[in-house]
Amino acid sequence: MLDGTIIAQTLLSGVLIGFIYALVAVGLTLIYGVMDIVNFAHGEFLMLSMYVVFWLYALAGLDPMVSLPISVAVMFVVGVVTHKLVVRPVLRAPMSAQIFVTFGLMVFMRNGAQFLWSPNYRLIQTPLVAGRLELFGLFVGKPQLVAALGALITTGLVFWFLKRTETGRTLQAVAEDQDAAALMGINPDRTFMLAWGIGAACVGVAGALLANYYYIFPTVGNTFVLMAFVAVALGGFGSVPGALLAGVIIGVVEVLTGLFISPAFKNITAYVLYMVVVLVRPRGLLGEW
Amino acid sequence: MLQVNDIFVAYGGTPALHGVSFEVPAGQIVSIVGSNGAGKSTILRAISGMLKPTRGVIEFLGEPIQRFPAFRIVQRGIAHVPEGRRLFSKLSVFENLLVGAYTKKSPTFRQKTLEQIFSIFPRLKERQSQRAGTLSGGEQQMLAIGRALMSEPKLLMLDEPSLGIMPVLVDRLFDVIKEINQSGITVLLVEQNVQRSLEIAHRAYVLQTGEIVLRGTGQELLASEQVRGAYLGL
Ligand SMILES: Nc1ncnc2c1ncn2[C@@H]1O[C@H](COP(=O)(O)OP(=O)(O)O)[C@@H](O)[C@H]1O
Ligand SMILES: [Mg+2]
Repeated sequence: MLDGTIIAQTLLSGVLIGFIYALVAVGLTLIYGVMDIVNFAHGEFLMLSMYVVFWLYALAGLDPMVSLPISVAVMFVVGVVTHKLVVRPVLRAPMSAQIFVTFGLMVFMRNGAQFLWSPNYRLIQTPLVAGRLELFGLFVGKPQLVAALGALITTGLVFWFLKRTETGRTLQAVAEDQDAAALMGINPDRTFMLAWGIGAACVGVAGALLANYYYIFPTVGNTFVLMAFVAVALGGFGSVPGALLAGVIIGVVEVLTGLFISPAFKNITAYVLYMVVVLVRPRGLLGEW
Repeated sequence: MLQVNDIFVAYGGTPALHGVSFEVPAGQIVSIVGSNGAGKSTILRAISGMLKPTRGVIEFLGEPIQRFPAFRIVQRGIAHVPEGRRLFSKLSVFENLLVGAYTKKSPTFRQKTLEQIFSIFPRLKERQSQRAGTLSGGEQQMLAIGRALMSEPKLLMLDEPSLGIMPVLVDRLFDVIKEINQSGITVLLVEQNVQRSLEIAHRAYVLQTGEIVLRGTGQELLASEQVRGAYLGL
């Protein structure tokens, strides 16, 4: 029998994981919005940030919460370097080259991680944030709660940055019309670098928060990034509030499917949802065009 | 102030300008007229760095700028109001103006310039929090000019500012261009409205399929048989 508590418990866990999907999606949608390039290596960025946090824990004894800013900084640099070394060289090349270059990066990073760190599952055994607490009669894991709140706050910060700061305005201007932005004195290439840096830093946050409770392995990015892709399309390409809304919807749909149908169908319903959106409202829930 | 020397520009393999030379002296209004497809926009794009000439030199205040990327040319003092306005339609009017001041970070400068622009275009002040995409054609053109003025240009280049504007506003627009010029900004104007742009021009050029075929003062060209026949239908 399913009682109300179980359903409420399930919904809560869906919302919490949805915030993580949203944050991963925000990184994707930012890069896509500013330069029309899909970062297929986004899941591998997440994986890399989780390993950064893991090794800081294993080798230096740093707790994931302490490593979080380090992970953010490392991932920002990874994003910038990706733009400079991988993306910029193919910007004038045909569309297919632009798709394959981030796809190639994904394969490279995934295999690199398996080679360097083995396919073993790792776990941070004794994080500072552990245990669970009771909220209105529902139980929530503290790491999950902290991760969800951290993801929500970061998403809010990115949104504030885009809307309320001079640099954020610059990103918006380049996203809409890079030639017109250049006529205003904006260097589009520097703006692209920044979009990559911030987009990757978003998963730097997500990775550190997830490392508190999630297994770490070379293909760990898969689960999250697939949901994040669906969230980007569902929310509307380039829209941060759209990614947030869609992330939560997908998280909830995922857990309800697990509860009512079967955990094996979790991913499938998210894709079905995506297909419906693409057919019914191709610009996504909050998309602009 | 601006010296364009024998520039060649091509799109892909197709040449659009074949050896164009002209100059824009400081303080003047210079008009380039010509029919659709003559290459007027291409000239402005080459000056502002959106296109690179394959040959020739563009000198601004004595410095060759034809190899500079567009964003550096703005810093030198050239503002380009492109064809079709190219506003940031999702940003508000106010935000568009702020992006226009990207090269000028000083808040006091921005405040002062904003006030000047709002006094030229009071409509922009009323609509400052509205999205640029929701403005009428005339208001959009005002915003495009205002946005360009926010960079404190020495040379303002306008590409068909009267296009898509209600006829009653066209007079006002040409008055504004004169006002801007009288405030000390040099103007390079490209227009299909040959009559009006020659009337306000100190100096003017006629462009035909990528070549300058006639030059003189605005008055001389207005009086020329060739211009009257080909462009004014007289
Ligand atoms: N983006 C472009 N790609 C290819 N050809 C172009 C492009 N823009 C303009 N042209 C060509 O260059 C020539 C000059 O165009 P343009 O400078 O826009 O003329 P005008 O502004 O005088 O109407 C035309 O033959 C036009 O077809
Ligand atoms: Mg034109």
